[in-house]
Amino acid sequence: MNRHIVFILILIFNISATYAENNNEYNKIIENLRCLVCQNQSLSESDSNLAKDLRSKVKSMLDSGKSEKEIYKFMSDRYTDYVLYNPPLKKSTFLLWYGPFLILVISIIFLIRFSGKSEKSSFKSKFVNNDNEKLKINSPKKNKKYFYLIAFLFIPVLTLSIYSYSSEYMRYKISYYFESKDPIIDITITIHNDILTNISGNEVLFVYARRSNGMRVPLAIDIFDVTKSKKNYNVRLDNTMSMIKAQTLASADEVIVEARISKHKKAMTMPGDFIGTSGAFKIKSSNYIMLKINSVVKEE
Amino acid sequence: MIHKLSVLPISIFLVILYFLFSGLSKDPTLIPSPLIGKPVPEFSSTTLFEKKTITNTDLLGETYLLNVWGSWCYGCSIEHDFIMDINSKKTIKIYGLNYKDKRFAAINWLEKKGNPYKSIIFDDTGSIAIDFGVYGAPETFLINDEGIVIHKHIGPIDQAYYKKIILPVIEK
Repeated sequence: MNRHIVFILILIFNISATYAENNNEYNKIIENLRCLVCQNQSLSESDSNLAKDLRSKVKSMLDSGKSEKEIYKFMSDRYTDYVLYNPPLKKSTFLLWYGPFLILVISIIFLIRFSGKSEKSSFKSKFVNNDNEKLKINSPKKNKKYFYLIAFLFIPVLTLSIYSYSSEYMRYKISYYFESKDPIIDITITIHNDILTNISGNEVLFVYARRSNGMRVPLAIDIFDVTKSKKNYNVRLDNTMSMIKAQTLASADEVIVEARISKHKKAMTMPGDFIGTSGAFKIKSSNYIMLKINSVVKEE
Repeated sequence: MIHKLSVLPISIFLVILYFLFSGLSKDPTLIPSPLIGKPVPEFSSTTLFEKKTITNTDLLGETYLLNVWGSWCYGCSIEHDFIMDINSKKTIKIYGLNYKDKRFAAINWLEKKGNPYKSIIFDDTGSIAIDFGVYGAPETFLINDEGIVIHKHIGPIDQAYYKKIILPVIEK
């Protein structure tokens, strides 16, 4: 009897141990894979549908006994090395891996050669000008020497710092800074009380800006889950939220903002949707509007 | 006086600066497909309407477009008119890969908007799409008669895509 219990305990312990091991490996792999549709997030962080699918793919591959390497290869065969956070060492990525060190080594070689030369020349000048004029002649040379010393020390440091700036996160930050002049629209949405009582909690809220004339394609769109109790929503639409590349907030002069609660969760306006529409307004770099969802879309 | 050695660090710096700045203007969300020049990944699924088995070998023999779409996908409804338009020219066959959709929703969508596809591969789990390296619908693959992927387009296709990408291939 006792023996059986021990056996079962060992079995349970073993299973949970392998499970934990597998889980660790799983977590490590999804940390090392990039989510493709959301920048600067790994598969483990992202909540996008594709990330969920790829996570479950990783899990099923692990469960079927595939190694970490095989999984990375599977992913990069389909989504290129871009999907890997640690790009492999190849011909095309050689500079990426060793470039900074190469520059460091080259500049150190230059530094040593150069400083040697200038010392010799200053020695010479010491011998030649062994009189009162020594200081006058020497000091500009010395200055020059320090200038190059600093310059050559500066290059590797600068290179390394630029290199770190070229990381994706920093690039994102920098490009955000440059693009921050693009228009944003801040919107406070209030749902009318009568509509709020009709909300079941299964709806979604579409908030989008479109041109006041012409194409109805949203220039920027965001989607939220609606809850029964929430009356106000604060939303910011910006240039990155467009659906088509050329159709962004920055490309329009006059826009209309609409907030629509959809039971069917459809991008198209359907009868029975609750809607609030702003008047047309000229778009500036920073806009603020208040929107009331206070009407129902009627049958066409 | 500028020493000739001081030109070197400055020029190195400028070159690095150039590459970094050219990197800023690239769209990091566009990922080139590693599939180009390679055969279509193997798959086996059912068709959307008839629920018949369809595999990658069924599509061999002629150049075709493979359009990844879903009824939930807004970009797909934008490009749909163009796809109908391309189909009406009868110059190239178009197959659909119905991506992470529900059968009734997809059929409903097509009945409303028209069906430009010769046949539609139903991929509700998205596993075929993963093999194709799809990361968001709509995406369109141009595949030749030997089943080799020639081109991949991400996002809604338009008239320019037809003229620039499809026409040169058909006219060959």
